[in-house]
Amino acid sequence: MSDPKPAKLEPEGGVPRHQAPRGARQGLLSHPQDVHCVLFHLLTLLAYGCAFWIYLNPEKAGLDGPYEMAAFVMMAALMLGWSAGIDVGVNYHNHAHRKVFRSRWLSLWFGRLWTFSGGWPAFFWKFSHVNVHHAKTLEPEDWTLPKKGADGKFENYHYYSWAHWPWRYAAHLWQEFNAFPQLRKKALRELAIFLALWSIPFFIDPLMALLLWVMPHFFANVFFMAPGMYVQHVGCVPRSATRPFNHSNTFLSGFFNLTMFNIGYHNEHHDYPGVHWTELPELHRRLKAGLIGAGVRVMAPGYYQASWVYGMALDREKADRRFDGLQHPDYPRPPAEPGRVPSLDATATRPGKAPATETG
Amino acid sequence: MIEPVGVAPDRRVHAARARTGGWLRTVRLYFGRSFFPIVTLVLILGVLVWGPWVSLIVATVMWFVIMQTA
Repeated sequence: MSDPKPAKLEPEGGVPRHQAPRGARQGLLSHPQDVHCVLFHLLTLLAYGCAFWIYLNPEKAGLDGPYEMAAFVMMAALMLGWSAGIDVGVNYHNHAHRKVFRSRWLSLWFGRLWTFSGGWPAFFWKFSHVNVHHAKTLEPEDWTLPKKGADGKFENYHYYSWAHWPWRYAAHLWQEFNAFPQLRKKALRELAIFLALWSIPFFIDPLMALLLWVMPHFFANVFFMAPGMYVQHVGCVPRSATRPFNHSNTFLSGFFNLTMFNIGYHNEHHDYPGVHWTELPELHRRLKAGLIGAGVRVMAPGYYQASWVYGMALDREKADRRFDGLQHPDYPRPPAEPGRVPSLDATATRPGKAPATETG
Repeated sequence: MIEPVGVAPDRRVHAARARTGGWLRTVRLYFGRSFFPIVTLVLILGVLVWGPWVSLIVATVMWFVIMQTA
């Protein structure tokens, strides 16, 4: 017997939906605010191009010696990785859920030219995120998230960050794609397109490609995308009959959400992945009472400060407590049961199955 | 109610428009949404003006401050 579909919070006044005004001219974009998504990606590509030019013309840039070149490479790799991490993990993420362009062909090719600058074939990223992470959030089959120990805790933050890309993703995607011949065929085609695009900098200058192309991709995945995945779901439980809403953490920092396409509204996004990113703050407002009632973690800062807590912690228990201490004061959570750290609740079970020790 | 096309249904943005007027809101929105690639571009191109060490220091300080506060 299949599990019943778990409930989700119902927003007051319904789900916000974009409505084009009557008589509005339809352009290339599916939503007028998606111009920011396109602009973000084009600026990121431009930044890569400028960094390549400076590397190839050090005398014109005034980079006189190896130390100055090293300083430039360190700075450029960090900043390019930061932009590329957001560009794929958040910006392309929006496109994976709701196509940015009205043209299917344009969406497909812009997508391919989007994720290669973060070290990903577009199809691979979309499959991992939509078909695995969203479809099976926090369940044992959700291999995009950190592994859980017997106590229900996520594995070590640093281990997950270093292991997940490309190693763990590659192994799991290999298994997933090989299970279905059609899927494997499509995956091989997309991989070939990705490799053709991704290898371009190596033809220009192999060392430059390693320093200003591969290294930013490493930073993007290990230092920006992985920490985001970690804090979005740390301490959460899979949807269950008794705890259907505690699958994600929400982050309210104004600066963070302004610069990260509202990805902080993560609980809302998982329950309503079809809602446009500009409408998530409004959806959050409509869900506020339900989020408080369900005891969802709604944190005052963004991912950066939250991941700093885990990144700098030597003691995991202390990190969990510090993380819970970031809860926004307007969203009080029920006190933890004696002997149970709230962020470590591992008692919830799969949807439809009775929890072992759940008190509701 | 959700705002019509051309206006982000973001209460923060609406509040900014009411306080500051249209052009500043537009600048804030475009700069804010693309903050990281814009800063990346400025720091990379800034190498031509002020050299790599200033860009490296600014990038490192910015990373540290944002990791602590955002």
